[in-house]
Amino acid sequence: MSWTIFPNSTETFFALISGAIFGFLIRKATLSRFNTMVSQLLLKDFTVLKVLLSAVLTAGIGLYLQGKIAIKPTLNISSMPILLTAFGGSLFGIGLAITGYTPGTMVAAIAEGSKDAITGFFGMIVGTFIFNGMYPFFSQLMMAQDIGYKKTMYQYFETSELILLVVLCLALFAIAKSSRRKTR
Amino acid sequence: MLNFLKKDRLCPYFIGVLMGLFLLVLLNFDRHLGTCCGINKITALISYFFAPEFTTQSSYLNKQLSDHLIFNWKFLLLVGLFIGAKIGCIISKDAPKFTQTIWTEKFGKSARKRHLSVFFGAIILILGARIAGGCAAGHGLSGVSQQSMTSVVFMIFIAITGVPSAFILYHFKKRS
Repeated sequence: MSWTIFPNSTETFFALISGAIFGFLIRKATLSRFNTMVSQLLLKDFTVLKVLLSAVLTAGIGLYLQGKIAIKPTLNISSMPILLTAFGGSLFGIGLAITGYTPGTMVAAIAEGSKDAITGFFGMIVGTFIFNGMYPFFSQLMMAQDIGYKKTMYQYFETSELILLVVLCLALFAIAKSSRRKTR
Repeated sequence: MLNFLKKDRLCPYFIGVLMGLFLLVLLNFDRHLGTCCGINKITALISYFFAPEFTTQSSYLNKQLSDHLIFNWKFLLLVGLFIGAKIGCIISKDAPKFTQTIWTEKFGKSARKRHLSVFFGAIILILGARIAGGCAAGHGLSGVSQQSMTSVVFMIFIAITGVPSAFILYHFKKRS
C-alpha cells in the first residue's frame, strides 16, 4: 500500500483547529472529568445536559433558520438500523457509567492528566479489535434499512421541524430553573 | 478577557452555544464531528504496523485504511482535541487536583481496581459506539442537531442504561 501522511494543508489546518476548539470547550465545561459525567448520570449535576442541550438547540435553530433562507447544508443522517442503535446506546450507557468518559472526553481527560483515561484509550483500541472480529456478524444487520433509515424526526412523524426543538428548549428551561432554585 | 478564560469552569450554557455555533460551521462545510472514527483509524494503523496481512484481510480494519491516508480528518480532529484540551488546562487556574471523588468514595483509592474497571468499561463503551455507528459527539451533537431519529434513540438509550448503572455503581454508600 502506498501512503500519504497528511491531506492537503487546508484540510490539516481546519481539522486541527476544529479539534482544538472542541477540546478547549470540552475542558472548559469540565466535561473531561469523571465527577461531572457521573454526577449527570446520578442526576445531581446537570452540567452535561446544559452544554449538550445548549449546543443542540443553537445548531438546530441555526439549521432551521438556514433552511428558511434556503441555504441549508446537506444533512448527514445516520443509516444505522434503529434496533442496533438502541442496543449500541445501551452498551454505551453502561460503559459511560463505569468509565465516566465518552471517547472524545477520554482524549481530553488524557490531556488533563488523568492516567486512567490512558488505560481507557487502550481499552477502546482493544474494543475496536473485538468489534473487528464481530464485524462479519454485524455487517449484514447494519445493511438493513428499517423505519429509521436516514430519517429525521420530523420526516418520520410528519410534523413541523420545530417540535423537537421546542421540546428540547422546554427541557433546558426546566433544568435551568431547577438549578437556580437549588443554588438559592 | 484573559482572566475570564483562566477560570477553571466556564458557564455551561455559554460553552454549549459556542459548541453549537462551531458545529453549524462544520456542518456547512460538510465536515463530520465524530471522535470514535479517529480511534478506528488509530487501531487500523496499529494493526497494519504489526500485522499487515491480518489487517488487509479484516474487512472492517481494511476499510479504515482505504483512503491510504495516515492522518485523515478524523484522526487530526482527535489530535486537535488533545491540543485544545491541553491549552485549556494550561491556562486554567484553580483546577482541583483530584476529580474522581465519586469513584474513590465508593471503591477506594486502589489504582489497579480503577484501571481494570476503566479498561473493561472502555471496551463496552467503544463496542456500543461502533454498533450504534457513532458516539456522543457524532450522534449526540451532530445527529440530534440535525434531528436524526437514530441519534435521538441513541441518546435516550444511553440514559436508559446509564442512569441505572450509575445509581447501582455509585449511589449506595459502601457498607463499612
